[in-house]
Amino acid sequence: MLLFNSEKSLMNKIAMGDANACRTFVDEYMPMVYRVAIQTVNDNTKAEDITQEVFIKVWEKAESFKGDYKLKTWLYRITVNTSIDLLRKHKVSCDIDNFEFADDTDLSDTTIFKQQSSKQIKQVIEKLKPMERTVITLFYWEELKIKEIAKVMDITTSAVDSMLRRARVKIGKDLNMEELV
Amino acid sequence: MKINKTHKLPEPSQHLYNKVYASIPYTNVEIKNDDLGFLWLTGGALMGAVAVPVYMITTIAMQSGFSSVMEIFKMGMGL
Repeated sequence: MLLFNSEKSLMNKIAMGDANACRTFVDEYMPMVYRVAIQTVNDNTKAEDITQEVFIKVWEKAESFKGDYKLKTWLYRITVNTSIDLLRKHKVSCDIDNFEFADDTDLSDTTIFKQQSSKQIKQVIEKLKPMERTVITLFYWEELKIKEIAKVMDITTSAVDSMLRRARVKIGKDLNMEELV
Repeated sequence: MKINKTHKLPEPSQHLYNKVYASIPYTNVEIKNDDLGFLWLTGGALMGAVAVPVYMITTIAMQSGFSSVMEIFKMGMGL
């Protein structure tokens, strides 16, 4: 739990170079940044590079944080953008604008991961495209709403919906859960 | 959907924490104009504290019959 009155006051202190505030921020948010990064790029070394870069960007941009977004949304956004930049640098396809709309698979299904082992889950998620992995991570692990994911990834809610459905269809197929397909 | 918490995602290593802690910008506190006067004063005082006694000791020693700084040094070393 953050000890600062508000997200804005924390960011003000970071902008002023308060080392204590910076450390609190790292402790609070690093697991989240790293989780999203590693799920997106699927490589520990790259995820570590992204995490470091994200925090350097935070130190640099702290002053510009106006509080229009929630701090978490702002940070997710920096993380996703930094991950996309790195993937593009390594020429991994991550075109988030060109994807087809999938069918109307029910997104409210809650059984998808429950009977699977962590290893199985890891394997099927690794097969997804980078942006699908990001959406799945933000939706299921970070528990963001579709609207929030759209803000983070700077795409429309229907695009998020579509990516999520497609990812679920792929996961369902891989786990032989016919009812999801 | 609530994720089944047994499916944990990887956590960052302590090594990564240390790297990120090291990137914390302790030095980005800007020196304001008000601070500059204080810095000059401190620097001046330090310089004075060293330079004035050295100058005085050398001058007095020269007047006491030493012909060079090297001689004073040798005397100090007991040579």
